Amino acid sequence: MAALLQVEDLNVSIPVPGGLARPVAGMALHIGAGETYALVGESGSGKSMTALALMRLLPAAARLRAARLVLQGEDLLALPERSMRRVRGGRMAMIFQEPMLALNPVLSVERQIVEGLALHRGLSGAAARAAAADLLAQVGIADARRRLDSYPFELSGGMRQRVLLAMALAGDPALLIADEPTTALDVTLQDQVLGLLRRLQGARGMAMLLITHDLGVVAEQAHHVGVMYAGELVESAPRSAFFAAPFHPYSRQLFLALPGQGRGRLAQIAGHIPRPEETLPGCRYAPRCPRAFERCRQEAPQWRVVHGEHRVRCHLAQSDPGYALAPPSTQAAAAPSAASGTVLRARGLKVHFALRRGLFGRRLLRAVDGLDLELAAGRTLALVGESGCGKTTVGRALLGLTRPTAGTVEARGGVQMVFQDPYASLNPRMRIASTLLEGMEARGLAPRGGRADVVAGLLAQVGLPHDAGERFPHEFSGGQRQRIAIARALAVRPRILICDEPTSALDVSVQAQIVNLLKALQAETGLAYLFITHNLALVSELGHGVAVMYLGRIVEQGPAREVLERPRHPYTRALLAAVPRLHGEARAVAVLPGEPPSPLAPPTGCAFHPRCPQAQAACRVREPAAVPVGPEHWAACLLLE
Amino acid sequence: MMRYLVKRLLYAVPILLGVNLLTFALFFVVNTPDDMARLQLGTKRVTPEAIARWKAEHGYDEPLFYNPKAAGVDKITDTLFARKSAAMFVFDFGRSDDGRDIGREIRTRMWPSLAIAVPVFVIGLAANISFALLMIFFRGTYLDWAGLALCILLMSISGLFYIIAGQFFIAKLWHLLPISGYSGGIHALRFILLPVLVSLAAGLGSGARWYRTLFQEEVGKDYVRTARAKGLSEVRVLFGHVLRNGLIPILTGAVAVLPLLFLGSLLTESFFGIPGLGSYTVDAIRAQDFAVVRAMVFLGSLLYIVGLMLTDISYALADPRVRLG
Ligand SMILES: Nc1ncnc2c1ncn2[C@@H]1O[C@H](COP(=O)(O)OP(=O)(O)OP(=O)(O)O)[C@@H](O)[C@H]1O
Ligand code: SF4
Ligand code: SF4
Ligand SMILES: [Mg+2]
Repeated sequence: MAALLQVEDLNVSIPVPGGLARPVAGMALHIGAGETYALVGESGSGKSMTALALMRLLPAAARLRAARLVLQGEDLLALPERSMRRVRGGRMAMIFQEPMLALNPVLSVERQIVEGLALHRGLSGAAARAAAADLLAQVGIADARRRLDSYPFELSGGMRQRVLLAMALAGDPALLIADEPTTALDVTLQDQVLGLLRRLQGARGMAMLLITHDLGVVAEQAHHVGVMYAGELVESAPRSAFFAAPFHPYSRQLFLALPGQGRGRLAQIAGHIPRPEETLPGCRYAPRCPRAFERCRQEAPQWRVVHGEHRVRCHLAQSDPGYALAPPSTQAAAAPSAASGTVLRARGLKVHFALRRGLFGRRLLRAVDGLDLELAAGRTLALVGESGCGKTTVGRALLGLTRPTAGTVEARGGVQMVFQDPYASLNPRMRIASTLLEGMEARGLAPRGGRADVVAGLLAQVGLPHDAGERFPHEFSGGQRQRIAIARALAVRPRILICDEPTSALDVSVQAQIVNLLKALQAETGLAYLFITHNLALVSELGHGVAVMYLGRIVEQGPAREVLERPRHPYTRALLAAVPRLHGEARAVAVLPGEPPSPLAPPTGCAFHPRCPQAQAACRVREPAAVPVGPEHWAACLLLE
Repeated sequence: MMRYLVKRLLYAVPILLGVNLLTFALFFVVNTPDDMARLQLGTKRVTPEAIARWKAEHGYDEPLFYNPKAAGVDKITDTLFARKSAAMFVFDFGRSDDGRDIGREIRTRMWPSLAIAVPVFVIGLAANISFALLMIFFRGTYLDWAGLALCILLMSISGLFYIIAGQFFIAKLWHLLPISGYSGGIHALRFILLPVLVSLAAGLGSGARWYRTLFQEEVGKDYVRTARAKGLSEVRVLFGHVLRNGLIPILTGAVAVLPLLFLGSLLTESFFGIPGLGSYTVDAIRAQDFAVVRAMVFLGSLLYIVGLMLTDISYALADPRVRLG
């Protein structure tokens, strides 16, 4: 049977000053009916461009060329724009990464869904409204009829993604293109949305092109995997074959860079992806490939069959077909540096925000509500929890940026912070050297005369070239900017570093570099880290201890290994179960339904009870207290009392 | 919404009071009634008696804030501030220096002003938006660039040039319309056509260019891509999605100046001899008639505050994210 979607030799080119950018070159993919094809790769590898090319929605300046672009036997390239519009949103629909931005802010949910229904199913009036409500119900929105009248800003992140999905389903598509549909969501929401996609796909027999950079998501969803690098597809294989033995050196690096595999040091990919206008005579991965040899730099590799449908574009497939995955470097994790006393202690920390309502009304938002923390020198405490649980607020309070409403913070030694968005936190008009020296000079730390040496020392410490000091932030990549932010924090010689999601804006390979850097710095200088993250895999990589936060409080805390392997609190268990696994089957039901309640009106008793799978009558009324469950390990749940 | 309006109205009182006090200070304390009399009487006949007589005739012979000679509440009310400035709160503007009732003058003169300002506003808004949308529809093509170049050309020509060119060609050379003047009733149409056309031409360049920028920004947003992905045609994307979002800043900006239409345009009215409030103000300034100028300043601030309130209300109506409270 011919595949539903057949793409051969798809190219996208965009004229740029000084050449021709080719964000997609020689792309080929086949997707069968009801099948999920996962397209994986770093940011900038051309995944989204490929999707837009399929929809013929490329930016005006871009040129599209393909040997074959056929959907359900119809040549999409030959279609005039008018007929293409019937395909778009009809047989082929798309959902996007940022659900908030992807929805029109001033139109109601109903109007946005009905538009598609009117266009592709000819519905109008009450019938359209009923069909829209039905779609909302299908994507798991409770009280669908009422939600039709909502506007996007009134919905939570998870609901917006569901609405976007309902819009895409309006035309009853045979192929759904999902461009990083869960990247902007928490693990628990990601788990819900992925489950939903799987169910809908099964029920409707819909094919899916899933674009993601998360190999865990791929393992759970995909039938077939394609790996993209610098505009080209470099490996294509059925899921099981791919996960059993990824062939392309780049695919392997992606696996090695994944945190949470217990390998001590994360493999990092040196250098970065070539720009789309750069032409290379040989393999585009050669400059970064650990296995590159002479031929790679001269001749672009052609497709080779590894086994059955598993194909790869790498010279090794011919010269060294037995090339097997090198055993992961089993270099022992650095011995934990001896703990030498507490450097940071918070007791009964509370941060309440008074929100004004009307002229006199005031409501209290309890962002942090009674929290104890202790941080030892040379150790890392990971603080995890869903979005909005108060993690960032804790960090800001510890740093003194936000005044606590109650409680004490004692720090022995300076505290510095590294933020999620390295670009926003650097002054764009200041040279790196000045940025680094600024804080030191403010504290009278910089030794006179030795400024250049100090800057060079800091840059070397974070692995940046020595001439970086003379440049401006925009000249650096995301990962390099985060290094600069770390260097700036180190400049004032703190003993405590608070890292607020320092890698969540970065690709896995770059994330690995930053995590390795942080570890090396800790071993070298005995820094203590409070590492705020929603990525549980990073916890096992970095954390000595973990604190799990829910609605402004810590619900479980203990040594990282203990908590990850033997979680005792139902919330911790749910968070861990929601992480997509590389090996193992997808779950049928979401592990944690719903979203965290608003901190404006926290539930009574145990705040987790509305979502807790094990909740009992008592949980509604009694607040659980911390119960010791192991050495330095406690959890607050009535079941444990 | 009601609560909000009441609150805003209450806020407006101290602001207007401040404006009132400030103009009073400018016109009576800095520039005393004696100075006014001297200005009006000219240099030759200035004697202390003439000044006193002029002040008595025009009602400027009372103390500024407090009248010790009067009895009871009159100590406060028989003052210049109460009579000349505070009285404006009940729309009692007094008389101008040539003895006419300013309030009546305003009521008759606002109609010619509106007759020009309203069509200019409505047609101008529609024309600027349509022109901007047209450029956006053809964005990136030569038509877009040509439109943009035209806008910049229109913008860089001075407003005076449009008036003079319009009067010269349309009225003087081709005798299509009268050069200037005004008349009541249906004949007014002949007189307002030229000033309206000239004002439209003068406003088109900057207006359309600004709106094009607003629309351009909207077109680049993610939700537009979503709309296209649904299979909507470019026209429906523009009208159903982009226009709706782009109109919010445009309409709210336009609503702000709505009340000020009453005041007419200083330049257009005096060049075309329209007996509106704009030319009234210009004449008053020229004649140093401070009573009229004060009345117009106060009226202007009042209308401006109303405009700001209308802006907030229209924001709340147009954008579901905005709640007044
Ligand atoms: N300045 C503020 N004023 C009012 N409310 C605030 C303020 N800062 C944070 N909040 C609220 O406090 C709660 C906790 O916010 P916080 O940013 O600490 O969450 P978080 O766990 O860091 O979330 P994320 O994972 O999304 O970064 C949220 O409900 C947030 O809306
Ligand atoms: S062709 Fe050569 S450079 Fe490219 S991936 Fe294979 S080994 Fe590496
Ligand atoms: S106390 Fe009750 S609701 Fe809370 S976590 Fe334990 S079982 Fe669940
Ligand atoms: Mg945060």
